[in-house]
Amino acid sequence: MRKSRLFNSAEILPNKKDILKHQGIPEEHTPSTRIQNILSEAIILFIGEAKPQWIRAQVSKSEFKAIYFGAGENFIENPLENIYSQSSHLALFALTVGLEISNKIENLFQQKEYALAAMLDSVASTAAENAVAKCEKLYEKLLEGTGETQTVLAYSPGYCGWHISGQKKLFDHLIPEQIGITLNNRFLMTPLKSVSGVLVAGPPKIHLFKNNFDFCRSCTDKSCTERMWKINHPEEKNSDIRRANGITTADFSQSSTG
Amino acid sequence: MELLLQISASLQQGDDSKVHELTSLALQQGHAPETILSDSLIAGMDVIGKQFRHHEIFLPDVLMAAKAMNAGLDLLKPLLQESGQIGLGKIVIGTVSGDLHDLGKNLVTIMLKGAGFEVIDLGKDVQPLAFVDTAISENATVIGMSALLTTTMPVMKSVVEILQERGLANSIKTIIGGAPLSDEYAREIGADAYAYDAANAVVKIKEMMGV
Repeated sequence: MRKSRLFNSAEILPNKKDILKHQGIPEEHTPSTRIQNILSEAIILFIGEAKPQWIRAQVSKSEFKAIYFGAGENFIENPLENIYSQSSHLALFALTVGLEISNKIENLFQQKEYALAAMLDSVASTAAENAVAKCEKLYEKLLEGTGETQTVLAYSPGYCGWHISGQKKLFDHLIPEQIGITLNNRFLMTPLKSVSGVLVAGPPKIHLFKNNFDFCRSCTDKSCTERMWKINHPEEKNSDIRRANGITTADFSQSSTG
Repeated sequence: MELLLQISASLQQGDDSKVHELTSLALQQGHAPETILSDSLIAGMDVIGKQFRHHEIFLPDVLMAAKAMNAGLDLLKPLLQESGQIGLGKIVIGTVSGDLHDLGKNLVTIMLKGAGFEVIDLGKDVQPLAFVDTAISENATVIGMSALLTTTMPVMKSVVEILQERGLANSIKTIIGGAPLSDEYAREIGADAYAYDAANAVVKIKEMMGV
């Protein structure tokens, strides 16, 4: 059964440090007043323009096996097969922060408001990461009461050996078009600030793997390291912002060489 | 401070209103448009580019300076076109077909314009032939291609192949950029260069064009 839900923009609003980090500004650097003003303006624009929502559908392992196989282009050696086969629950998901944000960013560039456009892009990208973390939490909460400690993590096509062409079957099953997300023949999602994948629930240890697969060498994300560190250090689990949740915005999730 | 230096300083501060005002004043005082372009605007952006490469300033600073550069360039461009000055060279740029990610391409365009290049931005979802045909019709010497999807990277190879088939690979150089790309991939498809970011794209294109 498919469930969809709207988020309030404020629910996924990133903190300022994370946005500035996305802009390449190191944490120890204090940005100028002008940059801080641009950041504040971008946040206000995001709150006004973003229309975040997500859709999910629970799937069985056998259903997911067929979806995951996709067009048969996954790396033979990959961690996700082992992870999902040990899961207790699986749910396909897709989320977007909305088309309006992408349009606004484009308009700002056309108006030569480059710094604000790029800052808004960073706000939206970071917010999409937060939205994934929010979806993980919501699914985890839904599964509370199953008796076991469940850790939910998201995995996306284009990452961890799951070939990006896997988007096709995922879309066929989930139908994210219902919330306005479409896929082109190159497996690009529109709106751009969208993420799709599978939420894998199970005992925390199932998410641990050695990240020395062939595709890890060319991976520019590397957030699996931080995800696994957090599993091994559960006291950090409830931190407000999970910077590295392994899934980023469409900009990044679709850029993998997987 | 001398007026041309003042323009450069205002540009580096990202003060677009001031750059516009001072550029207008410089023209009134009889400074040649090409001198204002090279000694004030491009000189200012050169400083910005170096500071950015050395991590002394950050992306928003560069983009504010680029906006200021545009404020001056808007006044100079009609005059430069009249006198046939088109800057350091002409580049055709775009995000390849199937791909709609254009943030990186936009940043490269801004940086190239700031460095004094004329840039024809074809936008996103650009077909291989459009790159080549535009480069020929506009007499451009470089094609810049951006991709963020692994599935759209092969489009870049098509562009290189079309140039090779038409015997244009020596006269029209190609440069590629985007998250999944690398020097290795550029070599593999026969592209002339790969740039890892916008500032690096300016450096690589200058090298390719010998300017």
